Amino acid sequence: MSWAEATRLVIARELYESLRRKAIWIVAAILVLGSTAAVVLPEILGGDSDSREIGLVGAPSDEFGNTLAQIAAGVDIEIELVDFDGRDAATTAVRDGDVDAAAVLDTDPLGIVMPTDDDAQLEALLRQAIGTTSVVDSLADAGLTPEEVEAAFDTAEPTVVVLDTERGGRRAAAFAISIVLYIMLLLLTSQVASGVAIEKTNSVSEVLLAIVRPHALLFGKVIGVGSIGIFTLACGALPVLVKLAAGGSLPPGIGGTLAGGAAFFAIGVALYLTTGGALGALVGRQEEAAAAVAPLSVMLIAFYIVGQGGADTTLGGILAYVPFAAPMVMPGRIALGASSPFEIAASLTIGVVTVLVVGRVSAAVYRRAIVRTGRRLKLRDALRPLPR
Amino acid sequence: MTDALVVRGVSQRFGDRVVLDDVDLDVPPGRVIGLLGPNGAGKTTLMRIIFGVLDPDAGTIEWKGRQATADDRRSWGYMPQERGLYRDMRVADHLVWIARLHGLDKRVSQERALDLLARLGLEDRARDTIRDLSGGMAQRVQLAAAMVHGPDLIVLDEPFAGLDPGAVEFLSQVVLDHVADGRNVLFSSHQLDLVEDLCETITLIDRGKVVLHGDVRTLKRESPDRYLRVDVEVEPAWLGEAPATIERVDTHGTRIKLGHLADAGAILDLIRVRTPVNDFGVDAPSLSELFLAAAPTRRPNDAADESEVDR
Repeated sequence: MSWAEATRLVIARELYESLRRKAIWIVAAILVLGSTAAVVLPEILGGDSDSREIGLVGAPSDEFGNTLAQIAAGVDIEIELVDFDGRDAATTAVRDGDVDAAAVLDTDPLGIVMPTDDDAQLEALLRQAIGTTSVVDSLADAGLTPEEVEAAFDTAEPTVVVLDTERGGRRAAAFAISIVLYIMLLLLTSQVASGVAIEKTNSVSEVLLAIVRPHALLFGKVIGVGSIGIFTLACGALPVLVKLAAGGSLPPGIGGTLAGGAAFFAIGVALYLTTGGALGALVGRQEEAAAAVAPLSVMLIAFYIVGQGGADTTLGGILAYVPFAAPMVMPGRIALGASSPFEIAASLTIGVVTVLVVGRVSAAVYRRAIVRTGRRLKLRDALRPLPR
Repeated sequence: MTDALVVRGVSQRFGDRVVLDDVDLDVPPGRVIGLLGPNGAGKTTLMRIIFGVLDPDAGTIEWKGRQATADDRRSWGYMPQERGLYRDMRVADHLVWIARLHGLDKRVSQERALDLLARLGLEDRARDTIRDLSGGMAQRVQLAAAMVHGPDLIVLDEPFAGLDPGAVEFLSQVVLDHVADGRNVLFSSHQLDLVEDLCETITLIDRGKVVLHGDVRTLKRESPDRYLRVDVEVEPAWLGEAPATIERVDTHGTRIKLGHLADAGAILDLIRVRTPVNDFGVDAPSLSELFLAAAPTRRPNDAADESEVDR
């Protein structure tokens, strides 16, 4: 039996045993449905979210309505106007949700009725429209012709040039990718560790080590658990990818972030899961598995926080070259344009080399620790050759 | 007949603790070999070394006259002390998977698994998970896992621990059937009295050292603790120069301590020429008594606290 064949059988068992359980399919179904909902619902509800109904009380002319519509169009919001007789009727309509807000134009000072204090954007639009209308009225009262008033506003209108229109979308994509990566790594690492701990405390590893090499057991489990993790991840990503392929309105620039995220995800899975397996082999009892991988979890959490908050800082730049941190900070750095092609290539190379080194060390620790049953071992004891 | 498995000079330390010290062990084909000793004696460690799970600090493991290789070891079957199976796997799936790890193809693996389950009376539990089996049934599946690839040598670590008498009987029969085919069995036990009748040859270890080994019949014959018991009152003069001394005479009869290698039948004849004997017997020491005689400072169970390595 070759090494590769043994590893293949270990992987096959992991996959078969996971996939024959209901739990995995329930999780997969929830992910597909949840992700589909997240992709499809904004499309369905999209029409509503971009238009507002505004109640008007005592508007002297179409002037206010036109001004409001014009300003709102600047931020992609359509305005529908509904006239009300008096402030009380408008307030009731706002409270009942018949309109999104109301402007009361026959009082002095003029009034705005908002249902809650949530929609600051709409409030600002109404304030601006009221302000503009009253300025126009004042200018007209001062004797300017409508053309002169319009000219005055035209010169006051600044031209906005957005240099990087994709940053917001990429930032959101990077945020989503790191959070998914982080949760997956945290879950899968402890899953591998507890799997190894169960095998050790159940003596399964003893039977298996008599048949196959420890490398096959460790790497087979890492690849098996990692594959199941990637499968569930794919269930969640599928609707997004379908939408991408169908040309839906996904955040622009997400492609590069996704590709970078995938590469660093693979490195992260290999590093954390292999180390998790080696640490899991140190335990004396099954319940100690969580404690055994605690240092790894703490490290992951710390790097995740940096990745979320400061991927484009100097610290983020340094961590880009730290293999265990790179999977957490690099997707953010790529998304924010903070990384150079050199940095990406160097980080990936360091990552791959570290995977090989960590693989060897972990296999050695695993091999020594898995047969030392009884109390929990210190990592130092397992790293050091057995004393002669 | 050459011994199939030969262990020579195996030593193993964990830190400062000597677990095995220059241990020799022979497993000839066609005989049931018991590796006996109290908990913590080093039995499990020795079995792990035999299977290459641990590398010993010193010593060799030979198989059929040459150094045992990884391929040799894969051809053997190992049943560790209790459990040793994925509790969430189905019985048949598990056996097939183990067989495939041994290099058998899928079809042969399935045939072997089902055949073994039928032989062990578990055919209707093939699709149950191991978690759902009773302790005795799980032990049988464990045995099946050690035998599914048709090994020449099976090594069983404490196979009888926690079994009811029926299960002990069943397992003993499987072991005897295996050696009856000229194949090899090595098993360990700390319950010396339980395996007394099963073992033909024993190696007794204590604190990592071999304290006694050999053929059970020979060991008993050579023991200084043998007694001839007759239901009559024997006078010392009757025994003459024979290598035997009267230890006790009471209402049940006489208890005569036999000398080294004394012929009990000849001594019985010396008595029979004086008076008819209706009831008699030779009391040879049990394995426990042999062990206590060989390791006099120990009681069989006072090593339970050292069970880190040998659970």
